[in-house]
Amino acid sequence: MNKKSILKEKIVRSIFLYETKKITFETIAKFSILLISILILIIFGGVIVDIYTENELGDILGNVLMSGEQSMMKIRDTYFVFSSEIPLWVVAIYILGFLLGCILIISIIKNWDTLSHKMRSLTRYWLKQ
Amino acid sequence: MDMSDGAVIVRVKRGDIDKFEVLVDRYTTKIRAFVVQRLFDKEEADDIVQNSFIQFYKALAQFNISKPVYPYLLQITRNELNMYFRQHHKTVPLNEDIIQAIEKPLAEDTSEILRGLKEDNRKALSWFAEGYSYKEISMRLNKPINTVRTLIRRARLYVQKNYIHE
Repeated sequence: MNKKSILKEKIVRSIFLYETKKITFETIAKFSILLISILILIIFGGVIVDIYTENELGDILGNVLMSGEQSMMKIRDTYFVFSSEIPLWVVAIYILGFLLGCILIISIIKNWDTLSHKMRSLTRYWLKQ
Repeated sequence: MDMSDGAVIVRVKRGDIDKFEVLVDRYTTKIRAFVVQRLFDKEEADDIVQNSFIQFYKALAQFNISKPVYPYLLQITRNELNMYFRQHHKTVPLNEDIIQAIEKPLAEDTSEILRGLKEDNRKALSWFAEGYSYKEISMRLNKPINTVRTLIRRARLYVQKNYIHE
């Protein structure tokens, strides 16, 4: 192997190394964020369900199926209970976690083709080595 | 069939990283020649070529495929070279005569340098150094212009011989 092809090989290797590191870091970061947002949704979702059952707000489907006026009253009651029981920061964190998870999933779906091509290229290259 | 640079970049942007090898094959020799011309150290040159390609790969997302690749890559290489020179405080080597002249301790006063000259030569050279023209000096010394030229030339040779090439 002459010097020039060694240099070319070194360049290609460094590109693959850079891309592998980047994808690994991004995957770990995205996975952590997704995990955190799922945990937020589970924990605060549990808090909300607790409040709902403690205050005997009834079953959600039943409330929807009631007649118009009754249903409106029930929804108003539920809103008052939630606004007095749940602190604002819990709601904010819940919404934040939900949005974060949504954005992440959308970005993964959007870049899925590129990501899968990259993964295939990387696997092919590193298996060849 | 050979793919155009634009087509290769589109494929790389889509995630086919192995296609970048085509660009590496196409431009490594040219880029390396460009760096070696300016750096001489071939090991360092290889590192700079490698860094230039990595920088180019990182910048691919912003690269406009309608533009040619080579000038863009060359500019990245130039930036890498400048960065290398800045980091290593590299300078252009000086001519040997200039180095000797700098290393030789300077006389405290120019009058000391001019002391060895004849009066006419000294006057002519110092006026010339002050910015007078040959004509003005010839009028001051009351001598023909060609004589003034000779006086100044001899004075210069004396200074060069005793204070630069000694």
